[in-house]
Amino acid sequence: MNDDQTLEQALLRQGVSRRAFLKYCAALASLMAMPASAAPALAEGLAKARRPAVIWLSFQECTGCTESLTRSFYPTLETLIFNMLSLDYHETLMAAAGFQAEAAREAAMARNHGKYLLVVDGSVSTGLDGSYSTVAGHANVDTLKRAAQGAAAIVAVGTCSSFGGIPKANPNPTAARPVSDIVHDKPIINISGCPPIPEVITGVLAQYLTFGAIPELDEHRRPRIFYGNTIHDRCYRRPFYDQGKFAKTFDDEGARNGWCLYELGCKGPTTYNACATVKWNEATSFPIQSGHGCLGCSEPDFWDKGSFYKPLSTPTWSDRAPLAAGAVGGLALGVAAAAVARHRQKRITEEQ
Amino acid sequence: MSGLADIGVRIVAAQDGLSGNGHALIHELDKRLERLAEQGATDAIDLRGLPLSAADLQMLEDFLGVGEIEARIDALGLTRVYETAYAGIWRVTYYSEDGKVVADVLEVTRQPGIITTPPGDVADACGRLREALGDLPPLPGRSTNNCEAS
Ligand code: SF4
Ligand code: SF4
Repeated sequence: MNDDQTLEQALLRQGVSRRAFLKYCAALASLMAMPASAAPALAEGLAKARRPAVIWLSFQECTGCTESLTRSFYPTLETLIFNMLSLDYHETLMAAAGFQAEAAREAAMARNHGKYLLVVDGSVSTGLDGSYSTVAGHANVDTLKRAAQGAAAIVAVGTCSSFGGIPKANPNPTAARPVSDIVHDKPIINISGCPPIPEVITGVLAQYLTFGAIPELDEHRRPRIFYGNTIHDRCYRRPFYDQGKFAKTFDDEGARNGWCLYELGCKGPTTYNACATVKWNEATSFPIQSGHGCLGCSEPDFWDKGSFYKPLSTPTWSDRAPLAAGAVGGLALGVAAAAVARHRQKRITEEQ
Repeated sequence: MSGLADIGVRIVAAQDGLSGNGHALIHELDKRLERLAEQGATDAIDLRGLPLSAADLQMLEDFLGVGEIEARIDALGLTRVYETAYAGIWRVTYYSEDGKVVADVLEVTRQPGIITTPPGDVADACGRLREALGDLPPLPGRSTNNCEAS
């Protein structure tokens, strides 16, 4: 695909029909929890989009985020997304290596100066002048600063680049920091999660392409479309929570009955992520559905918040907003219901 | 093998499995159908975005019934479209190439967009038709096979 073709032209050339594209947009709208009536507008916007250059930098990380991205549930979705982006530099996915790879990055940065999307996974080591983590003799922190200069926006993929993640966990031996601590003069979108849900990564990129703008973000710079609700807000075990029915051990009667995992340490009430709706592994399941509480992996410092198996300290079951009310509200009163939920969750978080 | 198979699992559902959300949705459809009838306003509801139980969905399907038209579209996997017994309410289910549901929508419209021929396809088809016509012998009394401007 050459750079001045629109996405529609490029896809048609590859034998993807216009109806198939419309269908893809319907799936994307559903995934992004956009109103279904928005799919045609989405299709129209995306069809006219020109693919932006993407430079992807990996710092102190485990490659789980890239692994996650390449496992999107909808095979054609992944292909389409890669068609939409011009992935000019990605150490794990690119064929070039060594000097050739570094040269490719420099060339892409120069060619697209001011326009490219910089994607970062991994935290940035700042200890010993950044020498804990280097690529081709350059400290990650210097590479980031340099690459950020010509970027239109930065997408921090994963909890490590969003909040520091596991490298930053106590005692943080490498003085690891999130991207937002290093770069202050560019728009930053955090896609947190350890790893983030693949469809959330592709969804955010597609949204940026369609609307050419940064999506609405929460106080941690996470897109509200995916991080607007807590796991608890959308958890199918929620009716048991509301009835005060809790599993007390992983093999008791309550656990077998599928009751709420709050007392086994579930962090769902204070964790904003889309696991309960988008789910994992081709939408097969998510941790709570598989019998384990949420670890809170998409929140800052989740690793240092005490035991994964200790219940959140504040009892919240006095607050019995029935699920049905929120659900029906999703149709007519969505905004108000979400605001109430957010207020309630905020209070729980603050009381931690 | 481990003793996992020995752990008894029993999921307790609400008595009839109905959450009440299916019912609320039908009221919503009623409002939207009225808007289609009076103002021609189209709308769509994403069924996967709502907390509907399997029983809710079944109730909804039974309630809405099946109307006169059904279509299957083969583009990047199957799409199934049918009009419910309430004209103007359509169910559009999109499947991926490996048969998983990727979107499931109730459209309130006189004709779902996925069935309508995309304008760009018409233009392309005209060109292709002309090309194909070129391979046929010309009609008696005409020098070329070019179709008139569309
Ligand atoms: S505490 Fe956890 S298991 Fe219980 S309802 Fe909330 S998210 Fe679900
Ligand atoms: S359920 Fe919680 S810990 Fe698990 S992936 Fe989702 S946000 Fe992270």
